[in-house]
Amino acid sequence: MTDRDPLLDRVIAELKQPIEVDPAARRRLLDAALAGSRRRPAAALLRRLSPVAVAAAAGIVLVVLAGPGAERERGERWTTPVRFALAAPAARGVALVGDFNDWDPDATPLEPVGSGDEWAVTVRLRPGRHAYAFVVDGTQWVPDPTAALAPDDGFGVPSSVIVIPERM
Amino acid sequence: MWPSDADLVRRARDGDPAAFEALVDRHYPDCLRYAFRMLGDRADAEEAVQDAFVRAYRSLWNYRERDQFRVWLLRILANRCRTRAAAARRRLRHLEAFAASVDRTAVAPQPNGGFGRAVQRALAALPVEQREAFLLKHVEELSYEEIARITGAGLSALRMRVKRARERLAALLEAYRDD
Amino acid sequence: MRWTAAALCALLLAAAPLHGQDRRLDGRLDAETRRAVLALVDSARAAGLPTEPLIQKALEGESKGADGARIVAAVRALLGRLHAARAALGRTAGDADLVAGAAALYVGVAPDRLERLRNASSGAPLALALVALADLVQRGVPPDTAATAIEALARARSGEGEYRMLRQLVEQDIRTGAAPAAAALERARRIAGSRSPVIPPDGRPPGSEPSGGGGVR
Repeated sequence: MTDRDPLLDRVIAELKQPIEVDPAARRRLLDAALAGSRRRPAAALLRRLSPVAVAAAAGIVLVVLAGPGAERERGERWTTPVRFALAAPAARGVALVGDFNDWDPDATPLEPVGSGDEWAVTVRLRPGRHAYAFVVDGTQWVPDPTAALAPDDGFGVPSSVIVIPERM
Repeated sequence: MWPSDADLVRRARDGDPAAFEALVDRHYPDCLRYAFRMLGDRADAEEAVQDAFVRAYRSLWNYRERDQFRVWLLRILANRCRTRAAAARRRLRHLEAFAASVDRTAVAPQPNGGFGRAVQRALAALPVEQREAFLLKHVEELSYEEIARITGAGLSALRMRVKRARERLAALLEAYRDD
Repeated sequence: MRWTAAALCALLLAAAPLHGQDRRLDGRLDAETRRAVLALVDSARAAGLPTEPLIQKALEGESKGADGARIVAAVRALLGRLHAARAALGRTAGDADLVAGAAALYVGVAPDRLERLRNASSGAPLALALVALADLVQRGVPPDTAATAIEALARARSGEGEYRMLRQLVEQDIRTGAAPAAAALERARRIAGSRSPVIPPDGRPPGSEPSGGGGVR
């Protein structure tokens, strides 16, 4: 790849030296991470529900175009806040993926609303056509029941489409 | 049988805390090393790693088994480190003049072989993106594709960052050549 | 020797115009797929067609777990349909209209029906109508019938509310056992209201019969 430089080899060897782990820090980490896990065993029980039930339960989906709030972002085109919501009471997590976040399931997680039966997030979208879907528990792709269907292009996985009108 | 990362994630998702502990034990040392090399401060590094693992645990449901867990975790950690490094830079802005002078003059050799400290100081003199790319490439030994996944930068940009980091480090530590 | 060549390459790459889309594909697609997709993107750019939909199609495929070959096929097919959509909708059609038109073509709407829809809309943005059109077809309405129904709404200057109502009512009707074609025509007639020409009960587009059954109610 590149020329071997013995000095850099020594630098790299030095940097590869492990840093000693402080057991107290490790303990703090586990406490912090597992602290919220009281909810998890219950969620694990609910997981026995079939994924189909999740999709069927996705009855309340709101896509709300907020009139005021359209903004110009630093010289770019107008964007409008749009709220995406999904009813998924058995879910441990729901993500929004679409052509506005490069279909990245890590980019836009939804937050549970209230008791956690509904999940929601608001994103700013530019005018135009946007394809998107919800991903439940990292694996289950769920289209938006109240939105138009997007053709699947041979991927075999469903998506939805919305159109954001141009704002004058 | 030694459980794979994917096995442990699955069990951790189902509420098994021992599985998550096992994941921590497996990945904490490398994460701590990376964070320490990025941030230069042990306490900062431990906090960044804790932050990253907590986030990882909260979004375990989002981990896709076809992604390598280590790469997925390092992506979270790299973001945490970048945020902290940026904040630290802002706090140390008044020391920029000093830092610039460090850049221009090579790091002087320490008596009693403080090579390790010299290396850390030289690393700290690199811009954050170069430091990050260099560590991920040469210390964590990831492929450029994996680094692209972690940083969101393009392949050619990453190669350039690593190249510049290598040149800068070699220049700063020249005094130690042929030691 | 090799190092020098590699360094030169690196410098040349750094000097070349960096396309924003390159970065996003780097961590997501393997090199071969990436090359193929970027070649299609270049082709689109040369033809004056939007490139972002092609990038997004590739990322969508990756996210949905499709392999490289399928991703390239989908992107290539999309490029072809963007060409066709532009031929049908005209060179002034915006990106959203082109992509929505490409989707309608994918589900089987004939290009000439896209042209008719453009004429029926008198220059209004088509994306809403085209999205509703593709949706109806995917729910089981035959493409020509769906196009007739959507044209009726377009002629009536329908907005987002009307198209949504059409979609949801037709979906509801189909769920309760109605034939998709009849449901689409009936709902369109009611929503488009008296401002639009009557749609004959047999669903043939207005003006296609020698003894016109049309005329304003």
